[in-house]
Amino acid sequence: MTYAHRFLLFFVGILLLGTTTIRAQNPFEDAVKQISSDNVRGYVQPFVNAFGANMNSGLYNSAEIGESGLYLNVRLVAMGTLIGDAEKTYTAAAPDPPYPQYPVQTATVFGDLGAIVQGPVPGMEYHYQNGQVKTSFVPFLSPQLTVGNIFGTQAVLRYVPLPEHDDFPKVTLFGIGVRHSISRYLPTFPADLAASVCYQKLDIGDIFSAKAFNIGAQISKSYSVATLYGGVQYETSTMSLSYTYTGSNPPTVVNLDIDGENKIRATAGLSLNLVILHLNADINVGKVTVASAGIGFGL
Amino acid sequence: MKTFCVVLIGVILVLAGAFVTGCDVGVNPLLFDGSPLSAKLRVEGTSGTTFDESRTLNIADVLSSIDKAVDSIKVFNITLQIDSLTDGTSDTTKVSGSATVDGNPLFTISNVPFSAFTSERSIFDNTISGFVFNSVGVTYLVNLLQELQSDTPPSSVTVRAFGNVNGTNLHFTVNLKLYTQVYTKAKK
Repeated sequence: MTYAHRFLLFFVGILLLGTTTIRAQNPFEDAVKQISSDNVRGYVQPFVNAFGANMNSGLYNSAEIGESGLYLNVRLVAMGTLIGDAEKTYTAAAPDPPYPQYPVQTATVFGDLGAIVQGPVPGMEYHYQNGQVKTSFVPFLSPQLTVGNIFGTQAVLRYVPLPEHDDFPKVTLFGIGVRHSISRYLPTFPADLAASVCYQKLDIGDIFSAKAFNIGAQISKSYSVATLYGGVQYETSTMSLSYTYTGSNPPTVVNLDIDGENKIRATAGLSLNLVILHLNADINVGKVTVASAGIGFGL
Repeated sequence: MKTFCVVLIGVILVLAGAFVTGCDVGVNPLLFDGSPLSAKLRVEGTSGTTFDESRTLNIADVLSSIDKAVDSIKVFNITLQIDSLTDGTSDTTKVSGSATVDGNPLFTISNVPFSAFTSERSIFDNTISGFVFNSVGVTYLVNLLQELQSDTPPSSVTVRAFGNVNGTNLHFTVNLKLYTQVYTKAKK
């Protein structure tokens, strides 16, 4: 096995770890298919938030963009959204009569056991779906290519086409973004400034697809090989679910678009530029907290 | 600068570790809705006011859509619907009678119009005057489903509906449905 093959296997494995929670025929997908449209939104909302926030992370590690000339940077970016107690429960709609008609606090996909509502006869009860993913951290990983520079502008590309293999569904990630130097208009400003916009689309398996969009402004200041960077960003994300709910008779088709709740974030990070090797890590604070790190090679 | 490098590489290593150990999927048993077990009892008659119909069902059919290792099955609802719109039986016709499962009373109805059951109603619905469930039959079903995973599972259950109506044009269908939740085995 060549080093290239080993690297490819490592990369695919890590990416699939990031998507492991939604592979075909897995407990997560099975669990979602058993939840009515009334409650699926609450059950998966923390997952949508985490996935959307991850996709909108790791797009930059500096605000410095040259005016013109070849710039090429290939990066592997890892992101992870922290999962706290608030992401482990939600308020679900009551089950149909004869059960009491008041909302019930129960487990999300990241929670523990679902709530149980006792029925009118001993031994008869309604049990909400149990949590299926035990984690304090939802990971995601993506390759990223940044090319430029033309009039202080760079393009950012993300693309991962993974074919279906065994239990893992077909995964396709595509993202495109544009970054533009603001410093070229403010040459006396003591730090580098840039603005960016990015759109991404991710399709996983049969029932999940996600879209993410962000627009942001960045600032950075370099000290020798180290660069401190930060930024603010407005972002949106939507996950679309399409499945057949089999808990009714006849089964009903559920099509849902669930928006991520992360809209605004602030980022602070540090990067090291060691000739052609570039390392970075940052923390992103918004509705959810995301940590991101990357390793890249480029000129 | 050396400190910066150490901190940065440390953060990257922590993130990489979290990637490897971060997620444990399928930690709790999955819950599936069992296939609703339906007993359709068709009543046809023009010369009397009484009816008595029964049907035998395969109790294991509640697992027909489940392809996982099953741990247990629980009842979460039983419903009744009476379709009287076919063949001319008026939905103002009043019915009295009972339903049983293997001879165990499930509910009784006293002088309730068919219209009360045009849509599917839980037998535990206490808003219908004259319609009362019987815990003997419900408990029997609860226990029967629990035995489905035993070494000698029950194979069938007989549902019977009988009673009388205040008319002689008897063309209606009594539709009883059993709703269950199926628990898969917990991850070892």
